[in-house]
Amino acid sequence: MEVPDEVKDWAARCSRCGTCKYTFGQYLPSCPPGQKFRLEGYFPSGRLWIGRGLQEGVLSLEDEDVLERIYTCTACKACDEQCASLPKEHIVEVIEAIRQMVVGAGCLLPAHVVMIESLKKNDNVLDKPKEERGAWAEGLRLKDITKEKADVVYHAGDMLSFDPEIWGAARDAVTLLQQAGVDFGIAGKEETCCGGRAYEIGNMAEFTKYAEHNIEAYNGAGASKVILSCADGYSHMKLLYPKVNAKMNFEVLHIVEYIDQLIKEGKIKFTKEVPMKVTYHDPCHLGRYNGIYEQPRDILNSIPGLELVEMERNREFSWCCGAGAGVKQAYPDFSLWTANERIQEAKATGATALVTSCPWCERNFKDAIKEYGEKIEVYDIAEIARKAI
Amino acid sequence: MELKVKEKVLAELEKIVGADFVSKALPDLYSYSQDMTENEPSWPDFVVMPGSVEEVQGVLRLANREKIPVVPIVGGANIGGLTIPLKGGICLDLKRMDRLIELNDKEMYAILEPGFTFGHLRRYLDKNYPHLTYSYPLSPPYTSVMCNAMLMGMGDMAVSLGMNADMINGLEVVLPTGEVVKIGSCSVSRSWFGRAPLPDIAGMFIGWQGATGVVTKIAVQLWQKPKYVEGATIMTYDMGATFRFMRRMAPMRILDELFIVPYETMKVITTKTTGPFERAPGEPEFAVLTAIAANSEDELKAKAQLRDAIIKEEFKDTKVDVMPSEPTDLPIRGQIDALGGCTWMGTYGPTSRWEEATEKVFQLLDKYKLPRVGFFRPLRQGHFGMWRPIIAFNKSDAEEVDRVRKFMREALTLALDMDHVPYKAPYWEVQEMMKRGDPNWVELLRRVKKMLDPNNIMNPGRYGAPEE
Repeated sequence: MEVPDEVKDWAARCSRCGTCKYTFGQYLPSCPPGQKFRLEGYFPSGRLWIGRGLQEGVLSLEDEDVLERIYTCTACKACDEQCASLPKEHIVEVIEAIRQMVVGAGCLLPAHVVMIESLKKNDNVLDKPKEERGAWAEGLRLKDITKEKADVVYHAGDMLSFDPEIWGAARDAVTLLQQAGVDFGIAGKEETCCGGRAYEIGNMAEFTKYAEHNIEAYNGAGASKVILSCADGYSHMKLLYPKVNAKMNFEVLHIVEYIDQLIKEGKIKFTKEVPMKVTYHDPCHLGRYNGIYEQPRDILNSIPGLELVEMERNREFSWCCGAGAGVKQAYPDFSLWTANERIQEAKATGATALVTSCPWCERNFKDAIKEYGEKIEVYDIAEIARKAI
Repeated sequence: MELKVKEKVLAELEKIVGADFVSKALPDLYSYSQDMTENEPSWPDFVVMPGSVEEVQGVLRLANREKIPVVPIVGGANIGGLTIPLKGGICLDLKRMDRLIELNDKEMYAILEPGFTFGHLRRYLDKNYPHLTYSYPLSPPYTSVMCNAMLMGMGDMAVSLGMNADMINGLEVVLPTGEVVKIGSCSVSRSWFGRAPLPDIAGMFIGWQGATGVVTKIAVQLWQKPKYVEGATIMTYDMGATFRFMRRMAPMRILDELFIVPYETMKVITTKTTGPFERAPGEPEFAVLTAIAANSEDELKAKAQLRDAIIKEEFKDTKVDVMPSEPTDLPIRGQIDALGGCTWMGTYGPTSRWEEATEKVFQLLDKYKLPRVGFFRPLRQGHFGMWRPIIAFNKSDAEEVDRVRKFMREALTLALDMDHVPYKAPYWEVQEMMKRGDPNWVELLRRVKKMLDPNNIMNPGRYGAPEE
């Protein structure tokens, strides 16, 4: 078994001081699987030690218990944020490298095999027919970038493309772009997965295939910018695509960055009162991965009549929604438990709505609300912004 | 343990604490088989996480019946290999028992479960009783208040108040045979105000490293937070003057914090590497970190004037630099960019031997190519002190681990020869002390252990272990 450099270099560096387990200064839990299952192997430090055990040959990738501890991590990066000494900023890297070892050893979890097979067949991880992609944009008369050039491409991603209950996030996002006079288009049925989930579960070959495809497609469309509402997709395109052997001729922006920019340029003006008390959930891939904390808050604070209140764990201390890195597919109960923890924190602020800027977070919060019988509304930030126009 | 017995025990454990809180999974057992120290790993058979006193009782009754070793653990960051299950058995992880049972702000104490950490305590006090504080150790937040006190650790008030074990008001302990016993004033009254004036049987549990029972509640003393605090870091260039200054200051009750670190300690922290470092000409030999606490500005000023006057007198023949500094906000995050390994020769002893002991340990560190890192602090106004060379090392480098082990063996001999006694001592240090110690002391330890733990199930191999 070949051990990747990331595991060799960093797994042994953790002394298990436990700093990663709390949000420092607040002393609230930071790691969802650790908090849920409590055994050391579910905490970041335990996972790093599993890496060490694999390297020493005393643990095996064929052991289901090893796989469960490695794949209950949502890759939320809270550990990398909290750790104050090495392996700081390398913890998720080690977990991802172990996942690549799992794929190499052919030990992938059944739920993730389904995702990969769906990618191969449908170009999405959700096991949805490819032909249904693009249905979210019906009636909006958007430019088709496979037929004509556009300066900006809006990439909906898997979750927004196939889940009618949250289509509002995408439809309101593009409506805002239309109203701001942006020249943009979509790939519709021809759009494919960003490949990020494949990367997160350790399948580098599938990730690379989609990264190269999307880079080629969006370069071909002549786009200078690719905009996403999906924080995961945004992060994967922005941080991982440059590592692929293909030159990107476009900039990647999340919709909150772009809306914030358009507001500041005077191209979007909020005129209607939105009398709501809301709290904002920082998606991990927008916040901890890319440091985007203030733009969504600036957008919400510029909406007349809206009151934004913060949860105690906000910005870099944000508690994960539980949906990322293949956890929603492989461990749905734990995923919903994680979301419900966040919902309780949101409710404690007195807000009537939880606003986020990632469809995976939105989907998981909505599912948890149903599962746990909670009462709080969930919106994508674009839906709230749209109400103000 | 035989497979059939193991299966039977597993089924019973699952019945006691629930299947979600028992593990025999290899990745879990691996995690609990070792810690950050150089001590050899040893695998448990099960990890069990009880959620209540009744569940702890159930586990101990089963273990006692089946003669299965039980090792209590919370954070596992004790730097002494204390929770490595030397004889296998059950690692009893008490993290789930993390409630604050009561906070009494009149008598200033808190009753806590073992999983209640320094992070929990700091958060609770800051939010609800900002005028109260605890003697927080220089440790990360995810460490147990109970474990630190029971293992005779110390905190930032140790210079004036001593070990955190001195601040234990009472205990609730599950004995290895399953009975629950209360110790201290709580055994005869509703209040957990203190251990006096009753016979102090807390000593049958404090410092025993979990070899005599499982503490399920502890009452610890809280203290009024001072209104004014001023820090000063004193960079010194002469060991003798540094320790003389420390010995003069400690009994005066002026400084609330006073700890001394060799130059290389500062280098390790500031450069975030493990060294060793060459001390360049003109660089200081020690840093003395001090803090003054006061109730008024006048008191603060008066104490600072006294401190400065003594600095002038004690360092009149040698260079000294004094600079204002922020007192350390505790608990801290892990600071040293180690390579997974950290160990120490943590001892308590007479500060009058520190010049000689420190010279010798520096030579020993040099011999083993290890950096001169350490922490030295007078305790209880100088009645004794904590003398602690500390080593961060590469745990995956067999040669380095071997070097650290050899150093630790020699450092123990040095420490004992210098009349210092290790605290949080790993099993091999305990064995050495029992070999060197008064035979009647050793015999009494064994009798106490045998009385409380007739089947030797609790953390076997530690204090009072029968001769093998």
